[in-house]
Amino acid sequence: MTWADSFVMAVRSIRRRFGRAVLTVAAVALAAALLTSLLIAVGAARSRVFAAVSKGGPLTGIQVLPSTPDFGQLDSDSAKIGDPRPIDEAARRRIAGLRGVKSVVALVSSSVYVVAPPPPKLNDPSRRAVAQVEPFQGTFTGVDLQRAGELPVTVLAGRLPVPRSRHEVAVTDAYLRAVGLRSTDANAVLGSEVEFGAPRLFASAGTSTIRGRWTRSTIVAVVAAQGAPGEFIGSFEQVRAARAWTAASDVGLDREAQRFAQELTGDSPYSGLFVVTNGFDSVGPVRAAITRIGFSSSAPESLIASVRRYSQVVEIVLTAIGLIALGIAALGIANAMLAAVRERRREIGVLKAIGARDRDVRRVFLVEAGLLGIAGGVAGTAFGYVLARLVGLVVNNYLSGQGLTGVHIGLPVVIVGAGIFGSGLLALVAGTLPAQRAARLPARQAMGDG
Amino acid sequence: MKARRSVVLLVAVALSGTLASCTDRKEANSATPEQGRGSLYVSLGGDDAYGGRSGLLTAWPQVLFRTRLPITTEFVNLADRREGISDVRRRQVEPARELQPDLVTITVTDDAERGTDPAVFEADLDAVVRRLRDGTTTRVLIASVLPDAGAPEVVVQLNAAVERIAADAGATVVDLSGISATDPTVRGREIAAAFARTIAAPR
Repeated sequence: MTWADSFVMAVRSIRRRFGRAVLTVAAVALAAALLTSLLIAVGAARSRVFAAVSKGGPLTGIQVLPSTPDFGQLDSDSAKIGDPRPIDEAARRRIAGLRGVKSVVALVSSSVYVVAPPPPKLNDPSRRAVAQVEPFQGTFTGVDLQRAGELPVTVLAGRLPVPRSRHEVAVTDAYLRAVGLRSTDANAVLGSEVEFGAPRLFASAGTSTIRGRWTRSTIVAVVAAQGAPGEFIGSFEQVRAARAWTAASDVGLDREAQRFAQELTGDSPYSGLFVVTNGFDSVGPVRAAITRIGFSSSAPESLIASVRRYSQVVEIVLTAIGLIALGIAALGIANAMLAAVRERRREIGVLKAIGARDRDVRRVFLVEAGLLGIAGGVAGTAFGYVLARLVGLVVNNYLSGQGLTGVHIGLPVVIVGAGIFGSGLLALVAGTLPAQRAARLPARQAMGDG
Repeated sequence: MKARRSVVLLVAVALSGTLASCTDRKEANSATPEQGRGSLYVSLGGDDAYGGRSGLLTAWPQVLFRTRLPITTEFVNLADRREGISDVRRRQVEPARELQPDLVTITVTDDAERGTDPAVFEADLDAVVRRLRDGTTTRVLIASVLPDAGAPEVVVQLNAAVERIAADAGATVVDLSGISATDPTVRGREIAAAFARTIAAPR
């Protein structure tokens, strides 16, 4: 008896008892759906919590500030700031060369005068729109936007500016507050234009005047950003041009003018660094090395470690619930297969009478159990994913109402594989006892009882 | 039989949907990065260009920059309160030249108000325009004096000087004779519109 014969016989048996097969598959499917949806939900929730903790950046990120570290720096997730200390290219290279450092993203900030567009009309009648947005002094942070994925920046609305763009900008929650809006109004500011004025001192014919270099940028995103100070995030090129303009001030020997220009551009070529380490275990040693070099830093390492521990506990509990459901489904399969053995005693007897060996009979029943398990796994995984998406829709609807980024419901290949092949394997285990019983049934007894 | 086929079909569709959703789809970013400096616009002049009456951020050059010029344009306003063309020559031209602008606008309303000698005015304006144009490709636009900026005979004389220098030194005159608004903000918008029309017109 070949494998193909066993397969054909198993399929025939399923077709003959179709109602019972459907019920068995449904039991497996429900259990698989429960396990799949729980695992997907746990995965999505975990990544959402980690994204919130790390502000959308990598979990292994460290923020380096242009100041010396204060006492007790390494005992705290937050930066303990000492005296100002410029971060120059040499310091950046030294930190990039530390053991355990994967990448270093530099940040550059500039003080700019901001003319915001008129406030958008709000749909909510209970809120009074701001009549006029007063110009204000803001901070514009420039980053290498090609490496934005390595930064703790979460896009709440829109998309990040195109790398090296000089006329696209992302705004933070601080901008929304400055123009009298809330984070739930993020979409309302997309597409509007902001004017930036970088100041510069001109000394001519014995007098000094301040003049702005004005540029316009379109708001293409609202972001939540950690480590990038201020209201605006754009390209390096934008901010460097503004800094260069201010730095070219005619200060001469006028100390007041010198201090003015220095306050606007700052002493530090870089306003901060964002260091990504090779792994979570490298965060502590790299922070210690950065402290030894002489810079203050911050990283949510203690917080993330706690969150990881709690999420693992939740994961274990929910997986256990899913496995219990699968165990119950396995009992259902075993019960159905035992009933099938009882009903098919005569068939087993005939098979043995015409020369089928014990292992041939065992194989027929195992193939049948395996087919039921795989069918249940496929249907259950698909149903579980749909279920998780529906839950995700409800959750995202709530989160967007609160002005927060939603969760991403993905379907990892591991879960698909585990759902389908795990169900098949479980069915094989559940079908082993009935198959064994069928295989050991003596031919004469089987025929006689029938 | 039909019911069984439907069940098989349903499972197949569910599986294909499940597998299809396994791959993350990232939004394609079709925008093109803009690089390098855009064109630079520099405004020279006195009170009206500085925004002494309308407010600095609603001065007509700022309005021109904000509403009429491409987003890639950068703008520097070197005009100052109560400055005539002699002040422009003395304090604004050299900083403007250093910036290597693509476009320069000059308005000289203050001279009409204070009744500057037309000959002196012409000499200063000539020096300003020639210095801006000397060895550069800078486009220079000079506004005619506003009709209500001073005594009619002074306005006529200054406008004649503006016409002559523009023709001699390769500048373009922006005709503001039609500006009638008295409200500084509305007037600023009208002046900006007049400049925008001249900029857009074929040279």
